[in-house]
Amino acid sequence: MASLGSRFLDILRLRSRSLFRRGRVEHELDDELRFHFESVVDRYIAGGMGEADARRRARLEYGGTEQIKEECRDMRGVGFVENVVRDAVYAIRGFQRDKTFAALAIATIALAVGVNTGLFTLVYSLLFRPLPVSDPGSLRNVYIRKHGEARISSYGSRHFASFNELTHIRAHAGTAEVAGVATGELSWKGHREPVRAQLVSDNLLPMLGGKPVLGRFIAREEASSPGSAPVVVLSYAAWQKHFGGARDVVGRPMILNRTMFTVVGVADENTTGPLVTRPDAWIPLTMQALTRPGEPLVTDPQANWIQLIARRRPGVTDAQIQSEMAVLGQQAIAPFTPKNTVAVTISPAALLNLPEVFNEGLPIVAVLFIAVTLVLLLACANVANMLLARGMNRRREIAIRLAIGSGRRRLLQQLLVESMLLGIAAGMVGLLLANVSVGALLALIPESEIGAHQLDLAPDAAVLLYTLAVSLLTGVVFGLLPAVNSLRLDLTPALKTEGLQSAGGSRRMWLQNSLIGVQVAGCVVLLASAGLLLRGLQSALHLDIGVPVKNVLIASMDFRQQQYTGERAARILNTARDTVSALPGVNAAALTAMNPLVSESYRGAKVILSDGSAGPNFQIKTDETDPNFFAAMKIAVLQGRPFTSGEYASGARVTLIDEDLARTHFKNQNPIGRRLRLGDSASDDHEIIGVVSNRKALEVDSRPAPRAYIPLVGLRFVESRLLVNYSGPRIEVARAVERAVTGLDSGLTVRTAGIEDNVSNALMPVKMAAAAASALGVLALILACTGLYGVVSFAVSRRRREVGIRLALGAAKRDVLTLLLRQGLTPVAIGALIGVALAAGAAQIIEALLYGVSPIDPIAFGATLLILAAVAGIAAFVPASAALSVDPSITLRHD
Amino acid sequence: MPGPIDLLQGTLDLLILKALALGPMHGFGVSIRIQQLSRDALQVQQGSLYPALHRLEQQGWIASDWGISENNRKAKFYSLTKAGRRQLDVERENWRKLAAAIGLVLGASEA
Repeated sequence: MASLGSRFLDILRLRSRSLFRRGRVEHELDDELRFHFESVVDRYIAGGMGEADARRRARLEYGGTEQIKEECRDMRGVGFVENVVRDAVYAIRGFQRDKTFAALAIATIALAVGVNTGLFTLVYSLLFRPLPVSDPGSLRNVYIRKHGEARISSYGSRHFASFNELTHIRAHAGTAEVAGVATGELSWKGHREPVRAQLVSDNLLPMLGGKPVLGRFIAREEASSPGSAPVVVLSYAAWQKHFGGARDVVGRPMILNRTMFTVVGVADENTTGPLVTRPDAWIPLTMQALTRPGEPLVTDPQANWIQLIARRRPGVTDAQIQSEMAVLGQQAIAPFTPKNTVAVTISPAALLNLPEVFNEGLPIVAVLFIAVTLVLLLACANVANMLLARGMNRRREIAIRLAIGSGRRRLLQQLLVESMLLGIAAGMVGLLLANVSVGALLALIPESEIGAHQLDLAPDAAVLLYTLAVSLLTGVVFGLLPAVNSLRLDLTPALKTEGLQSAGGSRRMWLQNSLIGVQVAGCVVLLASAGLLLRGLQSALHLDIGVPVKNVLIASMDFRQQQYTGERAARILNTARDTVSALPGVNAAALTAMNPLVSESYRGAKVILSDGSAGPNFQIKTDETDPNFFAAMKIAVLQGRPFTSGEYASGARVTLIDEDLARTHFKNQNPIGRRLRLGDSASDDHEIIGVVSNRKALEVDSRPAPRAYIPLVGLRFVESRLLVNYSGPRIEVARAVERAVTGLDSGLTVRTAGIEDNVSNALMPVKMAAAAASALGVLALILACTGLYGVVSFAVSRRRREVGIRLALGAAKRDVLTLLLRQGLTPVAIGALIGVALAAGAAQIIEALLYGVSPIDPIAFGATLLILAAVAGIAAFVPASAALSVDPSITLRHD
Repeated sequence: MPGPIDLLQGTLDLLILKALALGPMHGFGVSIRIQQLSRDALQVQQGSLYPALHRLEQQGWIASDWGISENNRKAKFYSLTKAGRRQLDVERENWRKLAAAIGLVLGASEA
């Protein structure tokens, strides 16, 4: 065995020696062969020959040393690597000679790789990239989902933990240290902008590797019992922005949500938390009640609101953490909901890798990846076509090399090295493009919407590896076909001049035409999808959604942050509504708990049958409103009546249903006077007092469901907002509304928005999809048409002589032009037909974004084909007519 | 002098290993040794000799070292390794079997 091992080492040594000390090895090979030669000469001299004769004789016998050397090199087994290096050098020289080709090919692939890498970077940064903290490798996200019957309420995610679970797991976990984080917005007295806070357990910041630059972090006893310590740790950025980096900030008071907090410390610059957005401050988890008045979650063992993050202890596996957390989680819920079961998922910590993000995001990401891959394939087809044309010009070179004995495998390797080199160069440019464009895209998101994000888009090893893999693969994909094709040539005609003009390339033309067909098909798919999405957007904007999409002002107040109770919020809202209603220019003012077109609340409902029993359960959307809502939102009461102010004031169990609900669940019967159960027991029964017209939802993910309206009650007022239907300038109404509210409580902050803004937000996904599809579609169109231009001009140049003869024989230019165009555009027509079929199939996937536009909408498809026909026509016409404008006597003499 | 015999594929390795089993030698010496031992019947061309030497070295059956030749020139000497000696036995055995089998076929009585 020892000898086998040492033999292996010897081989390794020899191989690496031949690879890395090539100069030395080559030199030795020279010496060895020269010794042989000299020995042969010596022998002839010893046999009585003169030296000159002996040398001549030996040389004759000897043959070519180069071939022997080549074979010796092959025997040494480093030929491959050496050849690749040599091929690469050769290829680069070739590109330098043919700069236009190289630049065009690289630019084409770079664009496509850029979109691809951009998408990957975005998805990777959100879902997989390690957190920007110290030793991110041992950090884990722990998702703990409870299954069962009893009440489970979640805030943020079903996979979050309750405070009770966090405490129990943290106290008993041996495999990992466990911390918790939640988010909350706080109003800071004297500041208009809210403070974005992270509610954390005391060990979170130290666990992430944070260090206070001033003061200290949250102490253990400050985060162990509800409401215990109003202390705040500032982020470095907030300290700089709001306190000018004052050294004496520790100990200063901050009035957050009407509670006096004390600044105890400032975190270092690198500590930005484990979530997508950077927080302004950290407060103890136990101060939660302050962020959602009336909903004290800390003491509720069934509220899921804390995201668990764990630091794996050394030598522990994820499976061990998983099983321990599952046991501890089960123990934690046992006293409260013994029938429920706990399911734990462990994943390497990343900014946003919640199981539901994965599940819901996957289809979208998949569609996007299909689209960018399609663009990449189109780019490949384009460059493959360029290479095919270039291969024609290089036929002589390749024929000569084959004739002097180069192996076809060697040549294939050389051609592939060439195209992979192009791929890699394009990959580097693409990486740059991706970085710039994704950065620009993210910069478009207004910071106030989500706070400053901390997505890191800089390419790291994973991004580089992905880009490299895509680039190399791309190189093989676009290089293989032309390479194989150019090696499949008949030597004799190729070596002669006329070989270049012979019709031997008909197979090649067939290949080029197929590639054009594929490109056009892909281009049609992308363009038609873009067209459909644009039509969907247009349709959504003009959709009669049953409510006015303009001239409604939505005013929201920070009741929650200001520690309002339901009754106090109701008082303010009702008074403000009455004041605003009386203002000039206001048609109607109303209250609602749901932000129209933005938020929806779903619940189960049952129709109470005539015998008093409850019918089957079905899903409905509910809106909690005041009696004026229908007037303000211009929703017609078709039957019955709206709530009376008495019913509203007493929170009577009455409801108005929409036409959908009346039609689907009451058929031809009169629903007025019937009962609808909106909950589990008879106390949740609501009497139906009216039927109103339907309104449609604009959200992409909204499941169609009928709707019921019930009076606003209790704590829901804290969530409610004022709707003002106005005529005249919006700014004046907004000011008046703000004055009316702050006149009642100067501590409240009022945010106003038009319902148009909500519509625009709701349509954001379809807008982004339309923009992305349009961009990709235009890219595809450019690729397909430059490809077509190249192929037609190439075909024309090959047939120059034929065209010349035809013209010389008296053919009309028009007829020859028609002939050339017909041949150039036939693959376009075939590709377009295939593309239309594929696009119609693909449209089923995006149907949710089409807002009622048919997936085979004739306008979208017609426009796509029209644009394609126009651009392709130009791309074919220009080179064809240019060829015809040359005097036939010149072309004929040319050869 | 009879014309040189074309070497059967694979037999060159056997011949080189055998030649080196007699003692370390440079490439030229190996070719001379084979020629002499076969009484000029076998002549190894350098075009096949050197690739074969390099291949055998890669396999670990022979090792090389620079030394001074009998005519006082710097030359690369090859010698048989332990693994090479085993390989020689294996190839010798294979050759015997092959020769015996061919002998049987050729020795069959012709009708």
